[in-house]
Amino acid sequence: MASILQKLITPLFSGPPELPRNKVTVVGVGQVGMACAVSILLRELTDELALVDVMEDKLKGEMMDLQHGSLFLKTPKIVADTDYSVTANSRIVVVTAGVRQQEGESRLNLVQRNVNIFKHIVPLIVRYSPNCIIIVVSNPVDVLTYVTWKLSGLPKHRVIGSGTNLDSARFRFLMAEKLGIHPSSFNGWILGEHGDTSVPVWSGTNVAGVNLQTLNPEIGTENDEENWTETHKMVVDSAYEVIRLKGYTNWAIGLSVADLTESLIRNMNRIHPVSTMVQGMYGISDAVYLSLPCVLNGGGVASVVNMTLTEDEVSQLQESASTLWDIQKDLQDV
Amino acid sequence: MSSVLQKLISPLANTPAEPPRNKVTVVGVGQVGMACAISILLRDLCDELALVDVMKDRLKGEMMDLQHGSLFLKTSKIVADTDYAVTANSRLVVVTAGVRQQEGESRLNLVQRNVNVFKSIIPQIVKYSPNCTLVVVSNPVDVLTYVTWKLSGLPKHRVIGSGTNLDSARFRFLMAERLGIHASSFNGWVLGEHGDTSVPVWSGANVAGVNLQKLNPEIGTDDDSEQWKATHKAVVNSAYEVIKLKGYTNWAIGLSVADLTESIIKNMSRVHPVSTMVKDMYGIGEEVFLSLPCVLNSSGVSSVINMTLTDAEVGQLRNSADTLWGIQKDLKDV
Repeated sequence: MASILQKLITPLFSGPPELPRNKVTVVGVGQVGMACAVSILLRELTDELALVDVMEDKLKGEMMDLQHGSLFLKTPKIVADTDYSVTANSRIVVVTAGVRQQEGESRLNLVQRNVNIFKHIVPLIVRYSPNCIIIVVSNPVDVLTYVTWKLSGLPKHRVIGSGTNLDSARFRFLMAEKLGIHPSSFNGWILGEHGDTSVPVWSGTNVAGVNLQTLNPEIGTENDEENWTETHKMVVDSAYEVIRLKGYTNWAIGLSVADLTESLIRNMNRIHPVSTMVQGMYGISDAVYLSLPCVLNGGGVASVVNMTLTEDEVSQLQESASTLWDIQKDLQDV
Repeated sequence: MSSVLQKLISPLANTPAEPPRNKVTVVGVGQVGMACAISILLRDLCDELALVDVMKDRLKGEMMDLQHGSLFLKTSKIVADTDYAVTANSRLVVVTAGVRQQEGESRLNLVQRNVNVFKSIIPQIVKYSPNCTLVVVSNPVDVLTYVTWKLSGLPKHRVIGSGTNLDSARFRFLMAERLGIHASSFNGWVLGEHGDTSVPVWSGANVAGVNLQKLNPEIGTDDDSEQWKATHKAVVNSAYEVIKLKGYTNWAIGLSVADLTESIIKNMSRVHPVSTMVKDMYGIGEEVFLSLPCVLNSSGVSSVINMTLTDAEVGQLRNSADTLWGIQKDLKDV
């Protein structure tokens, strides 16, 4: 007797199913990975989402929970496995795997713990998606993006660190609040190292093209009576504060990763502050990753915007580069 | 000396800030509450989002983490407080607060504990948003929606339980998978009690108007060689399975609540299976809440669809009503 399926539906063609065109993989189904996943799903950026992790039950549970929301989504295929073959043919791979900062722990302390994990993950990613773009989120992101680049063998324009995309978003939110406007109307860039020594480029801050430093030449200095530098300090402290309050951060980083994913998947050529290989720029001679304004499109980092930085800002970048290289040169097996 | 703000921006209107038009409050910032919040934010449904909970630090941390994503969102005001004054003027209030079953605890005991929690929550909600619509998510949802209705003093069309909206979404996903189509193209309703005794209305299941029971008259019975009944069983087991695998469910329920929110906020008059007061329908003589197809718009439940149910299906609804009334009649202070 014919089944309901056979009675109801007559296939028109019997070919193999189409390959995905905009597949995204998220590695790591912790709070950050799942925030990335749900933000990407709700922004309708992908036709297939793959999740990978080592924790088999949690991975399956998260996959099922997303699948149960299928009625409300436009991503018809959501898959998950501990085996990386599930990630094959991804355009974008978001790496959130690794251990997270404990309360009060600096990002640099996490390093070697996470390098060992990446040694296992990165070659597998590249094996199954040799043409992908990798976005590294795990901290310390600049070091781990370098590590990922080395382990992957991919050209540098296809390995990106989420970098200061989030710092800049927090900066724009906090600055905009003080001015009573929306963050998207406040232009300001935080570059360099994602973390304690990020560099707020005060000379570029503007609203509708009106340069804030022109209005207040002391902006960002210790002599500034308005103490705008406090806002950057709040950005640096943000993660620690949210971790202290709720144990981790996930929503803002998830949204910022979806923002990067959109530029890459939709080939938009938007400029984002993300971590890229800066050797040869600003007098930096080591192979380190730091955040600069990058043009992102379907090929990855298409180009880097040349900033007009003050001497002080350049030396801050150079210092970050030295600090990062100090850590990187001692890493085993990279 | 004038500040950067004063130099940069000249106010034009010296009027007070506009009150919100589409404010949504989420009560409870656990995994479910935050999944509701992020889904509502990513669907651009409200102009202000308020969060309330008793856990002060976690509440503040969650608020900050969402605010830090403001650059990527269209909801310009995200607030939170343990004081319900922050919820004032909400159009919609989503209640996810409450306690979970302890091992070996009877449902009645759990319900009484949640009644005591709701006694402190509901009057405060109504005090600050007397014209709101309440969506109750906390379990057992049908009983707690009844409790909420009694404690709020609101008319019955303004108190909704998330009910079988999620069960139906899971049903449509699982059935559609077996047929190789998208969940939104499979029409099927699960009604009645949210949980173990939910009622799949097999007689109405259809694809493009083609009635599945006509194709297979045994569908949903034990004699069905295709065992379609197993799919409904999988729906009932879904929550237990996901909880076993990852500890809780949140994404699917969050997406389903955003779906209800959209119909209410946008005054869409879409039909959803949600928990509503069913006294005097289907021979039910008690004041219980069960899920039926309801037309949702900005007044809340504007009407209920009259189903053509089999005697067996009506019997199941009546049984659920009796079970629920058995619990409700012994509750104190409701």
